[in-house]
Amino acid sequence: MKKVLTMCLMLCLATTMIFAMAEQEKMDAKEPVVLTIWEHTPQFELPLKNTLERFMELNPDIKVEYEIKTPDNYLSLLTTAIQAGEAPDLFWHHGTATSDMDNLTAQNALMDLTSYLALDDYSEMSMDKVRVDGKVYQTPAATIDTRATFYNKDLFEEMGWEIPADFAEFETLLAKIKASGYIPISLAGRDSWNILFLFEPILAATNPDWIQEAATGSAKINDPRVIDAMNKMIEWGKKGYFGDNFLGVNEAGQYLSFSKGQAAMTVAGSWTTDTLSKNNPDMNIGAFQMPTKDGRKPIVLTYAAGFSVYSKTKEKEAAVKLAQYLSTKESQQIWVDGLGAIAGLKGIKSGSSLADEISDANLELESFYNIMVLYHADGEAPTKVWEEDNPKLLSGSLTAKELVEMIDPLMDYPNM
Amino acid sequence: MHRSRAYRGFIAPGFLIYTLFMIIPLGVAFYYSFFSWSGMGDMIFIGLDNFKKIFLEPRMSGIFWNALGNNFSYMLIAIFIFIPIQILLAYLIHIEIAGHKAFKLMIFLPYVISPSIVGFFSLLVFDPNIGMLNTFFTMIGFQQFAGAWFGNVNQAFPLLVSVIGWQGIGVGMVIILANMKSIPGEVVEASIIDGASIWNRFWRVELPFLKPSIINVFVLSSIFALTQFDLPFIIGGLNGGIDGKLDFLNLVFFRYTFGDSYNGETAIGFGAAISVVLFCIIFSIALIQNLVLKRLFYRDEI
Repeated sequence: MKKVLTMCLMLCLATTMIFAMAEQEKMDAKEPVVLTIWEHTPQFELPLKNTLERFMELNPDIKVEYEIKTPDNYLSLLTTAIQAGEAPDLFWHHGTATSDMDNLTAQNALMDLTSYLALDDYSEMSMDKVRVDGKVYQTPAATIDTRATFYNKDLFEEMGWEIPADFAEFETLLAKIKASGYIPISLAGRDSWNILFLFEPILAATNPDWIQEAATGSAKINDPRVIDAMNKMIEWGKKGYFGDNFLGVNEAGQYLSFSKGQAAMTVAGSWTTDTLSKNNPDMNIGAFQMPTKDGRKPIVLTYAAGFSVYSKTKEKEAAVKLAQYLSTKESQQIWVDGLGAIAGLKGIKSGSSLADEISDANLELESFYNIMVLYHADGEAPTKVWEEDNPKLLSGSLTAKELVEMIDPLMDYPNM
Repeated sequence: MHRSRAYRGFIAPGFLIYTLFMIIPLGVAFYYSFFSWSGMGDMIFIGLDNFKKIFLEPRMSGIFWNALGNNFSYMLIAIFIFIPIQILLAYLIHIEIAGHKAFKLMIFLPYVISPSIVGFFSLLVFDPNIGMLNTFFTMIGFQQFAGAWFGNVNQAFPLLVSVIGWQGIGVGMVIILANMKSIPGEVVEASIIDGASIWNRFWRVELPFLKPSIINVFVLSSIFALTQFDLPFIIGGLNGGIDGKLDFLNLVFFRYTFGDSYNGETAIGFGAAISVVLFCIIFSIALIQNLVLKRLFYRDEI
């Protein structure tokens, strides 16, 4: 009897052990949690890839698959995915820079991340992009988007041209470059965005006080100072400072004529650093901010925005973990390095020496475009009118006054 | 007497697919056109406001009529210039002029190049700073001929039409050529024996046989002209090129419906209204063309 009992106990023990081992093996072989994240442009693929690789190293139980969309149809894809209840676990969007944040929060499509993220080091301007009514719905980004005057260092040295100390010197420099047979500033005259990225530095250099007032809703868009800056840009076009036939140039042509050495300078977004460097790796590129009349160096700043967590994600814990990582300094540094971007967070170094030159400024200003986004009235967006019609300023079919008078009724100034 | 209903089974698959992918989306677009809706959130019923905006709001109606005007201009060019050229090219190949095989290949080849690549070619040729054309003029000392090309309000549209024609003219030519090949040889031979000149042979004998292909090319070219999108978008940008000279209705639809890379605002309701208007225009034109062409070309049979 004893033998039988012992045998039974042994059998039970062995069975339990086998089951325990099988369970352990199952746990060891457990599939990692899979997250999906969407980005809106191939431009950000490298920093995203690098960041996610590091995250997966730190969290081997989470696998993140990224999908890079194209900017032209990104939002419609995202909207459709949310409507179908099949949005990715995390996704990029414009934040409060456009109506994205309002639309997405109204739909309860975004998870409230306020209690999950440690964001004390981020600046207020950066947080404003990701926060609504005190709640954080998106990871902030440590990169600053700005505009800069890129110049061909070797050509400047060869011709004896100096970086201008004030706006008058800048205009003298343009005339000198033109006289020497080079295009002073290459510009895509038929691309409204490239025109914006030139106009904003001109406005910042000629009338920074208007931007400071307008940023608080205390100055109108049809102010004579805005018209003055637009007329300055038109005047430069007429003087041939953008080349004789700049109205036929598109974005690629703008960058290529600079990279080929036909143009001495180009004014563009800071995110083009990588494109310009890759176009001609041998070119020694420098950058500076267009100076004001009294010699200050203004910089038009727009903070980038990061990723939101989909409110209906099935992997909430892992998604939050990724959002937490995306807002750490380590992650932001990887992103800034991958993009060669300007850092906008203490403790993060800019991605390149060119980025340091771009950020060498002493007057931070809001973007003209953002002012239109911030203070638009209900109905048609003023930015739409600006985008469609600003090339007409340079072609001569619309005057500066006519354009701002079309935009003004679409604005709602809080302090006027 | 039992009437066979087997035909129902034969048409059912096509009917279902057509209903699913054509009729229902059309109905949905028509429904959305009465709402203000960004694609997310509440759909606000606004009646005919989207249509009023298209036709009555001064700025929007200006954009709409300008784009429609460009569509029509291109359609007229396609009908009155491209089709005669397609017939002529097909005829030259049909009568086997010297080098006709290489000639046919050269004309048809651009069609297999994607519009993105054609857009890139146009940058290489027409860019005022780095393009081959201005570089060539400067090199041979005729700098005064260098221009802004797509940035010139007078040249932009004809240039775009030329690029579209260069890319697509081979398709119609091949359709007409296939029709030419099917003309009975004995009819042509009889006309030769009767002493018909080349012109008379073409005009009075061969051309009447080409009615089916010409009607097809005519209708296809018209629809293609009214649905232009890719090359104007790639060459002129989303805002329709310089002063809207390269703006077409599909571009207007796209930029108002889906926004763009920087400004991601979407307006599905308004976009649906544009698409409904566009559908009505295309449908009406196709219908009128069919009626007119039937009367003109098949009046003997009517």
